[in-house]
Amino acid sequence: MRLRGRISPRFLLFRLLWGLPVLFAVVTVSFFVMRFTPGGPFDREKPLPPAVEANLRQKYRLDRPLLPVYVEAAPGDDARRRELEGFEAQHGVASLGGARVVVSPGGIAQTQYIAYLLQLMQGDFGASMKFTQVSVNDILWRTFPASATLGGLAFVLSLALGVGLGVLAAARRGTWVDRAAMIVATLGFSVPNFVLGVSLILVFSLVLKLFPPALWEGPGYVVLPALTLALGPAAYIARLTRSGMLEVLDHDFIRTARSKGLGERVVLLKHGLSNAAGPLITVSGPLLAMLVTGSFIVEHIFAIPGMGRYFITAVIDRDYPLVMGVTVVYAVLVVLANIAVDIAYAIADPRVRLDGEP
Amino acid sequence: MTTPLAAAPDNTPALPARPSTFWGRTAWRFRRNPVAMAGLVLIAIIVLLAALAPWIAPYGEEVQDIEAILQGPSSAHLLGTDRLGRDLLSRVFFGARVSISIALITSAIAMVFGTLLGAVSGYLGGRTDNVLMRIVDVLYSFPDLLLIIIISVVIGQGVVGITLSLSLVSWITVARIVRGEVLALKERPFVEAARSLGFGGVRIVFREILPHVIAPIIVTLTFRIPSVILAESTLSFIGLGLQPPASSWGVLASDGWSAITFYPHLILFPSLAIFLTILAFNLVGDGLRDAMALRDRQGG
Repeated sequence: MRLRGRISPRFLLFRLLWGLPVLFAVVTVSFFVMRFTPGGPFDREKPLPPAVEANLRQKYRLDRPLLPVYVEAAPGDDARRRELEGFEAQHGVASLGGARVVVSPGGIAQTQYIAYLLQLMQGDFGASMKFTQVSVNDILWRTFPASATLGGLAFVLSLALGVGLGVLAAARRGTWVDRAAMIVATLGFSVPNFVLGVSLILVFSLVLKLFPPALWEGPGYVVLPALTLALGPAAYIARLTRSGMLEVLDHDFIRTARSKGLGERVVLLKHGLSNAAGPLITVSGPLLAMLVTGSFIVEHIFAIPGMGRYFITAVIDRDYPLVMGVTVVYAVLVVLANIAVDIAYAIADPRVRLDGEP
Repeated sequence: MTTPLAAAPDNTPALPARPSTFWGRTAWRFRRNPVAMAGLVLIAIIVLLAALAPWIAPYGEEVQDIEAILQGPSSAHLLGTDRLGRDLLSRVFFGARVSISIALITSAIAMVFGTLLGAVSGYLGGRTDNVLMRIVDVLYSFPDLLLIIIISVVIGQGVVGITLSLSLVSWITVARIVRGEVLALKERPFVEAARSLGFGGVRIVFREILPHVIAPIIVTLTFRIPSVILAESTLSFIGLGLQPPASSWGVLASDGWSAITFYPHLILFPSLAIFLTILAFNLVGDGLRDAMALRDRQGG
């Protein structure tokens, strides 16, 4: 377990910095994909008065060019042309025939993309376009705890269930216990989240009335969604644990441990499991990030006020800043989870050293 | 590419002793695995039902029976009817056509592009490999469903749009696996030999290396199909995938969700269809992997 000297702060810093280009790419891709999506945040069944919409567009910077390169009003789009001309007068955009090029440094910082990046660097996700009185940071702060609690619980549950079932199956290899465990795992692996969630609601809420079918108001409300979220990963981890254990259990050191007279439990857990942990660690990093943020199906089914549920409505409403916020939080978690995986490797395997250049 | 496929499973006679070719052995082992065979039979039934839907469905897909709205299962409507009086069994049959074809087409596209890009990346190495793998890194930092949602909102939420967005995400897994295999194979003596015979890169990749990668590709593909069915039905269920009147199983389940308290049959049967199909493909995938003696690698 001694980690001193095996993980250098320099290495960790390096890994963290390495995450920045990935984040940058994620931000850039989602920014432009969202902007090129048909429809806009202010589309209503009944169109807004043009003056109101123009004000809103100005407030959220949507009247500005996306990039400091080439912006052009479509032929005949007089409103857009006037918008650009107004912007030009205000921020120093030089006209170049029908197209425009932003030249002044101030102008560059005013374009939508660059302004968003600058704002993001200050940790500000901007204002939501749908929930007009709230900032995206507020929404994320308020919804993250529910998502994190649900995801964290599901993570612990899936590891406990999965590893337990996998070790059991490997220890009783070839017996009915093994077969039953693997049948359960294959079934669990094949049930879509929403099918499982719906079935649990039908059985435990509507028929047995044991747990509430929706909302997020106390400990009882966590049970069904956490189970729904955990079962699929648990099944996957059970299969992974079993095959990892079977590979390890054939080795000589296991026979040695047994012939030393060690108890079966010590042999399985200390000698077997700790040597089969590699693939488990590899999948558990991304799994944690996925469970914490990616539970939007489950949040949708159980009407839990988490980040995921907001993400779905944000996409439908084209609430650009909110979509971006959730995406960025997720990407940050993936990057951190991958670093955590590296550290966990070092903890599990004394041969691993994390101090060179990555 | 043709030689190994030509020797594919079916035409191998059932020999008492274990066959000597790779594909012969694979088929031999697969047939001795009752669970995998059950999965295969199930897939055959589902595909058959989907293909024959217009002829075997008891009613038309959109035929409404106004006398029988929101009925539970009965002899006239084996799985009951929905809120417009449409026969659920028929709609599940027709929904199978949509769900299965989206899954098959997506997987085919993913296989072609994933294999090509993975092979090029692995074989060329260097800068090409670096660029492609960085792209893959970025795509991996998005949650799958989130990426599919964003892309499908851009290209449209019809059958074509959903298929394309699923494909854009699905090729990544295939590419990673193929790249890994190619990386390992390109250092082997037979590739060296091909190179010293003066064969070009294209010929080496397609004629020498890729035939050795077909087994893992087939297994990856078998696991891709159920995950595409899963992704599509999940998206449609939460209302971000296919939009009615297009009706995949996910759309049917989504329809049933709104009436779950009083008419649970509406969500139960489409969900069951989705579950059984995913299960069948996973069983066959497991069986194939075991039969080909590949490492456990879910390709997810």
